[in-house]
Amino acid sequence: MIGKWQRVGLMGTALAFSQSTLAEYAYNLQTPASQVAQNVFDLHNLIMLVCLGIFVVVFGAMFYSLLKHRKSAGHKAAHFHENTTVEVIWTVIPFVILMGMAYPAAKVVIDMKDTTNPDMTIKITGYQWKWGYDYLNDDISFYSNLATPREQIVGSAAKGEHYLLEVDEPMVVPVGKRVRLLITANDVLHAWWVPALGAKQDAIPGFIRDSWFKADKIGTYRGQCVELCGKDHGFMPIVVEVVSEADYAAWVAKKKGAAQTAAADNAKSFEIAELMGRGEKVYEASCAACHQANGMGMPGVFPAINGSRVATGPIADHVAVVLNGRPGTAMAAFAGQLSDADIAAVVTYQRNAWDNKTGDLAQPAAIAAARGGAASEAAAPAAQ
Amino acid sequence: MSDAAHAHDDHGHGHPSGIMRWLTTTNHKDIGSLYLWFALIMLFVAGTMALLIRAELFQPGLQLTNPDFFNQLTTMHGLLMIFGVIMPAFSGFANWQVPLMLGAPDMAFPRMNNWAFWILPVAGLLLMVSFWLPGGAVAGGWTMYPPLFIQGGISYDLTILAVHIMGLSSIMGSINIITTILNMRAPGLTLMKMPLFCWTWLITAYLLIATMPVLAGAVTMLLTDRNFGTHFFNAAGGGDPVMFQHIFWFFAHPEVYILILPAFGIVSQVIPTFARKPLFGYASMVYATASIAILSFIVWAHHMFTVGMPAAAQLFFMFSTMLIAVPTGVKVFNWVATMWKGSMSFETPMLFAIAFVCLFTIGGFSGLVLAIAPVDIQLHDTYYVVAHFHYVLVSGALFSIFAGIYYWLPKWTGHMYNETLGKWHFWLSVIGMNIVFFPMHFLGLAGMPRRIPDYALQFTEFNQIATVGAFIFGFSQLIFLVVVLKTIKGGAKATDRVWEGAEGLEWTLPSPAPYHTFETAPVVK
Amino acid sequence: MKTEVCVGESAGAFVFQSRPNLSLTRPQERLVFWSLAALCFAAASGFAWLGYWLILPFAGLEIGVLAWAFKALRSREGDYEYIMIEGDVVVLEWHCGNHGERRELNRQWARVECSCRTPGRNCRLSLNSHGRATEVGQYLSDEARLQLAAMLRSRLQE
Ligand code: HEM
Ligand SMILES: [Cu+2]
Ligand SMILES: [Cu+2]
Repeated sequence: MIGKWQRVGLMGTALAFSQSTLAEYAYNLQTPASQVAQNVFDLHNLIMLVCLGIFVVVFGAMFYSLLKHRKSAGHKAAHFHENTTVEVIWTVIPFVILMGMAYPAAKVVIDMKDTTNPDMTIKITGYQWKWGYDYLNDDISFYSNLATPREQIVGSAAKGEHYLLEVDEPMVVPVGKRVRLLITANDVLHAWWVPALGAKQDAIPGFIRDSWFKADKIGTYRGQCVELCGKDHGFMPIVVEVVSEADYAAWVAKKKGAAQTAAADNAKSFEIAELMGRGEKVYEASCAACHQANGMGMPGVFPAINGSRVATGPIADHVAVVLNGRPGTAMAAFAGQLSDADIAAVVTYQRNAWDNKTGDLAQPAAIAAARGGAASEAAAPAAQ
Repeated sequence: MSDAAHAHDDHGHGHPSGIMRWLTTTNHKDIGSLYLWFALIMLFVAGTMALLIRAELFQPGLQLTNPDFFNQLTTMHGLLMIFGVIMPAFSGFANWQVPLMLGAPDMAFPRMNNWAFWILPVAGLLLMVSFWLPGGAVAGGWTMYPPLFIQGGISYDLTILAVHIMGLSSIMGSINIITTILNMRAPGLTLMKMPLFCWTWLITAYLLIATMPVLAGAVTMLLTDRNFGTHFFNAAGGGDPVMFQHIFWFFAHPEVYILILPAFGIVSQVIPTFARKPLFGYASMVYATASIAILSFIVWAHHMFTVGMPAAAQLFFMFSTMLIAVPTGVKVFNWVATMWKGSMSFETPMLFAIAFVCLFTIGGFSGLVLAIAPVDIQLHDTYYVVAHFHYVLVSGALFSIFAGIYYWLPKWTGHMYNETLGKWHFWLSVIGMNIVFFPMHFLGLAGMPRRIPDYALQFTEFNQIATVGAFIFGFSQLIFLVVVLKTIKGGAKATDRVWEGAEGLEWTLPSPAPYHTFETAPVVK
Repeated sequence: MKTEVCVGESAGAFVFQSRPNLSLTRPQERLVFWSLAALCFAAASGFAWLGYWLILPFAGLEIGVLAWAFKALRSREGDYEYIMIEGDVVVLEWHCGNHGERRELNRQWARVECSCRTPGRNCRLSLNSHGRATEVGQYLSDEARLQLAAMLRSRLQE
């Protein structure tokens, strides 16, 4: 014989399952994939139950009154308007209920704040509008951009399954490891959030804040930037791939190989066609969000590159702007974000695309040289 | 002796007419009406922006707006609704009702009252104009967080100027209200005999005066960071962007109570009238209001649980925020107890007041959920927060404003409003409001961030429901406009008492209330 | 302060005294003003101490305006009207803000003038003598003012 409460439990489970199949109509927090997220999930359910209970009692009374104590039903008004006992009771009871809630909540707070003893540490940097990841233990660095094609956003192509929640380079971590996150930002505030992992932390330029998670299950977890950071705030998703220890090792090896190729590129000299091809890709990923694919910018907000004085004037100034940005504006300093080869490519591209047919060509070596002077230039006030 | 025909012709003796009458008026009733008209116009302006936002969010993808314009819409919607609709509307009620309820001839400083109103449209204009400036309107969110706010163009400076002007207007308004309530009560009307509406406004004015310098300072420091090379909020120059958030919320959390305390006051006038029974627990209502005000100074960082504070700070702000639920609960219990064993009838003001009690409480519960720091960390900056503050501000503040208008309009105009239209307005608003905002709880729980112009596919259904609700809600406000205009033009003659259960000095006056009332104080026994 | 009205006979003389309706008491005023000033300056100084000093000037300005407002209210605190009729002498005394005067009229020459803009409402009452009118009963309600008028008339015609 199963008892009454067991049956209620079974029904609840059945309900939960039927909901998880109906992904579009989720009524609760995402299915947790870490202990912290699970604790928050349970805490939320508890509070909701308490709230529901209070709601039913209080508004049960109110609706009863609305039905029974109406003039049209002939009810005559009583005249009481005070009762100290009652008032004390309904001040004290909520207070006690709140204390009951505060205790489990405090435990979770303390647990979430404990970032000690990590197995690995990843530094996460928010940029307008992408994320940068630096694996401090494995010496891996990369950027993670939205991978959803523009055509899907403007509606000229059908939207994919992970529309807006897909990136070119996901963050990869091993399952079951305590991952400490050092979160900061490069330009404005951002916030890094993966709901299923229960980690959310504002990214603050000039300050590093930490957070942590330990993923319990292998899988892909998706999140988004959750602090308004300007135009493309809605377009800088986060994807965390939780993989087995072995897969993680393989991924690290692959990343290291790629880093070597990139380093080799910085030492090379390129043909203009190569630079233009590569430059266009870099432009799409790093510049087009503001300056637009056609180089026209957005009048009054983001300047045009096509025909601009910088992109058609002395090449050294152009390189300096790309390296150091324009402080106080949305124009970021790309010195730390792009390799010498990428900057050479994108500068070449900007100087030769559209109507900017300058014929100029920048090589990685020149960028490396300009970087030498970058430190002193950055300290000088921005031109104009 | 003047003849009888003049008996009701006491409008504007020796007053200029036409536009000059309104520009120069120092009459509290004129100024009250001006505030309310301004709020109504802004409601439609900011409401149209909301409908544009909801239309864009009807389906995934960018259809109507680009991301930058979308951010302009959300920012302006927030700023205008708070500073252009809710606050001016409450000031309108205060101007009309406080002198009538206290038996005072006018406000304590009538000329300052005139200035306080007339600088408001200037601020509104500054904000609106920026849509047509290069770079468009301000798009950094109503919370104005730097460094994003430092990046913007000229309209950001105009916004700072507008915020200053609106702050100045609030300060002048509050000083007027606080001095009027304290100093101009009719003989015999002790503080603890005042209608609760006056009490809530007294405390609101107090909060406004206490916090406005903080807002003014905060935006001024943004201005100097933007234009004069200071580094208050710039880490590269030794500043701290998070300090802006501390300063801002030190102002803005009391501000959210500024947006709800007068609503508590209005509802506490309406419910006893239609329950035909005195307000239950008057004294505890006053104490609850005061404790909410006091607590509101020590909870600000519950808006900042994700900036990364020490655990001790998180715990402190979590506990203090949870505490606010106690006095808030007391209020709800008192309203229910006022209805209990009353003899209730359900005219439109009462309907809105009942919906207020019920739906505001839902907003209170979601507030409690957000007060729990670990849960807030999951839900911060998601649609759950959007749902929370719209339950307290739409079904809270705005519904109380509707209740108040239906309640006092007969006294102000001398005509009854059309009850059938009023009921239509009520039911469409309540249903529409819940269709828009209830699904937002689920969106937030599922992980949809706020302030995004486009979203992932799993959020589609609830967004579509919300958009449908928004259009129902938005268009039903046209009924309200019609009701108000019709009531001003004509309608059944209102009696002096207007409502069978109405109590208080304002109901001893003729309907419509003459241009000059209580030039000499009545005596309250 | 309450509107204080006393009408009475003291040692055969008719005495009328009234003050404006100022419901704010001194302790209330002190509580409101000083608690607001303390709150504003505490918050502003706290932030200033952290380097965010631009709140202070606004706090100062605002509390200044508040102080002015309360001072403006207080300036009416000493206002009063006083009428005494004894024998053939009518003494009129009033004080309003910085102004005030004391007038002695001859009972035989004093005239009561009362006019209402609308019947029974918005009435003004004054005592005239030698072509000069002094308004009285300003702080009274219309009904009380009309009563005072009647009372003065009967007193002056005795
Ligand atoms: C029981 C009472 C309440 C509690 C415990 C409470 C708690 C909270 C918390 C913790 C947040 C932060 C959410 C987040 O950003 O993560 C919040 C946001 C907010 N609350 Fe409340 N709240 C209450 C009542 C109210 C009332 C009465 C109002 C106004 C009428 C209000 C207006 C707001 C607004 C406007 C925000 C969002 C501000 C923004 O980020 O844009 N709340 N509330
Ligand atoms: Cu963002
Ligand atoms: Cu708050």
